[in-house]
Amino acid sequence: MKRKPLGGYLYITPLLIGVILFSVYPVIQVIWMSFHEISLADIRSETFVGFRNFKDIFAMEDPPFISVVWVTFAFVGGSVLFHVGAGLALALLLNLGWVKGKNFFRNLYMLPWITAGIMVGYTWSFLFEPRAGILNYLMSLVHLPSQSWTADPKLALPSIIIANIWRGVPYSLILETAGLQSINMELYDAAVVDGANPLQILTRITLPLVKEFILLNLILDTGLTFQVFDTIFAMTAGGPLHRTETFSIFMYYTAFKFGKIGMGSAISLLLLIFSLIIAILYIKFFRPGKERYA
Amino acid sequence: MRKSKTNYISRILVYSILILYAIITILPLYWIFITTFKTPAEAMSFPPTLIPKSFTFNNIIEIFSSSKVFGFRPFLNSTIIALGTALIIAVISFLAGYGFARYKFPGRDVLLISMLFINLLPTLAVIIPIFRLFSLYHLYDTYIGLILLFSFRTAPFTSWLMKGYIDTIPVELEESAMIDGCSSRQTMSKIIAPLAAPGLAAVAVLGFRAAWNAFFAPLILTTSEAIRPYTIALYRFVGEQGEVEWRLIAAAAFISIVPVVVTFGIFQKYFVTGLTGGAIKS
Repeated sequence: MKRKPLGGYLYITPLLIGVILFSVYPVIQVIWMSFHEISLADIRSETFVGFRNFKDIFAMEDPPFISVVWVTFAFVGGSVLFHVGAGLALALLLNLGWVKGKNFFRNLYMLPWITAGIMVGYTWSFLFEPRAGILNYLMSLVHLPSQSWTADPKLALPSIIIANIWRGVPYSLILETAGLQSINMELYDAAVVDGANPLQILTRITLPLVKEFILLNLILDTGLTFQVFDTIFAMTAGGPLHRTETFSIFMYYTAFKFGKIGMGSAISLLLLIFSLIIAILYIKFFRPGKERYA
Repeated sequence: MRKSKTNYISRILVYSILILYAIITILPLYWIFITTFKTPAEAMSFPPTLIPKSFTFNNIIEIFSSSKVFGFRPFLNSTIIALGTALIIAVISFLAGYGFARYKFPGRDVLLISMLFINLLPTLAVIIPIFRLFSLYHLYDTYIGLILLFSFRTAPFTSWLMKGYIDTIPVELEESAMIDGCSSRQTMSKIIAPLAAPGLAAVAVLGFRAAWNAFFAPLILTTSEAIRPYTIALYRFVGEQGEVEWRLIAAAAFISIVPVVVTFGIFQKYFVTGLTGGAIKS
């Protein structure tokens, strides 16, 4: 059937207009704004200041910029490692032919992912709560001392990472399951006929084939974890002593608490550059429309 | 399927791990669930009771009575915003998915890749210009502002999803409908839309979830009680309290989780196929 190209444009026009308004234009604006001084009180006016916003970010003392970078990377690294590890392990187990109740487990495991991030934060705050929380109670059963968890400068970061691990495993599980299900079952049958044991099947067939999905998972999850705001905000709001202040929290405070919109834009731009690297990696490795698109 | 002589021990081991992770998943939610129905005294008691001794609906009633907590309004606001987003996102993604799947036009491939790119740009990083845009053009603190934002920030991904879905519908079906005298609009509504329904459901559920759970964007883009979603209302409520009342937070969390669980429960089948289909293809 012959279709005029013009029709195609018509169908995608609503999407394009929206994308221009809510993605393309803001990206251009954020670059522009990061070189200006703009205050929250008077959002309309702007003064060009060159690179001063960026200098201010790097010269900051409370918290030092390096602390924000460290907290962010520890948070992202810790979360992603466990997300992908646990997601892959569970996906592998649920892919075993003889396991019963697959759908039950898969649906149950989805629950943290469909729960609002802010609620995940409050739920875990409650578990970590020093007096009425269940965690200290469990600790007391095995005669371990009570901890103040999210209020303790040493334990706050591990606490928010634990909550975020719980929240993010289902996403990896979905991706890895999709990966495993894309493997041709005949390969397994052939291996079994040739007398391979389960361990050999895992290391020689499944893992090499699913490697690509692990990489996809790592890239996408890093991008997602980098922007987590709500869970951290509900649990610690960046404290104590900035020990849980990630890029996202730092950007929020700079722009909307201290009213430095220009400097907030500069932080956003750094975030954007990071996301851009993630996106380029993603497209480089997983450009759709190639062989895997069959 | 494999027929392996998996021995007894490895079976026990595998089920143990699956059940252990099920417990890890469910325990925090179970804790919220039982606290929702505990009396104030029991909710604060130490040691905490894993099997509640008391049972009351008072916490839920308190949440909905605006004089005590924040009332029904924030949940209504969230519902309006989430349903609006689901509707708009379904329409836009369906149209764009159809255009991308069925037409060859100059720039199509570049646009498709751009959509993936844009999907990976965090809303967080563009919220400041959007805040300014909203302030200047009277979208600040409105339903429509939030609905448009959620829709168009999620649409690049869901359009891909819909394209993948429509690709699986044989084009011959449309052609024979056309030959039989259907107009292109009739073909869309009578042939394509019903066949793409599972994809549409998946896309709408994704939009609903994104809007219902959103916190960061409404934190910055809303201010009045008339617009504020429940996530922000709860955050404000927690901030205003001197002593944190966990039973009320638990009740609010419980109320908020129910609609998403129900929606996902109903559309679960479509949703999983839709999402994994998209994941494999993108």
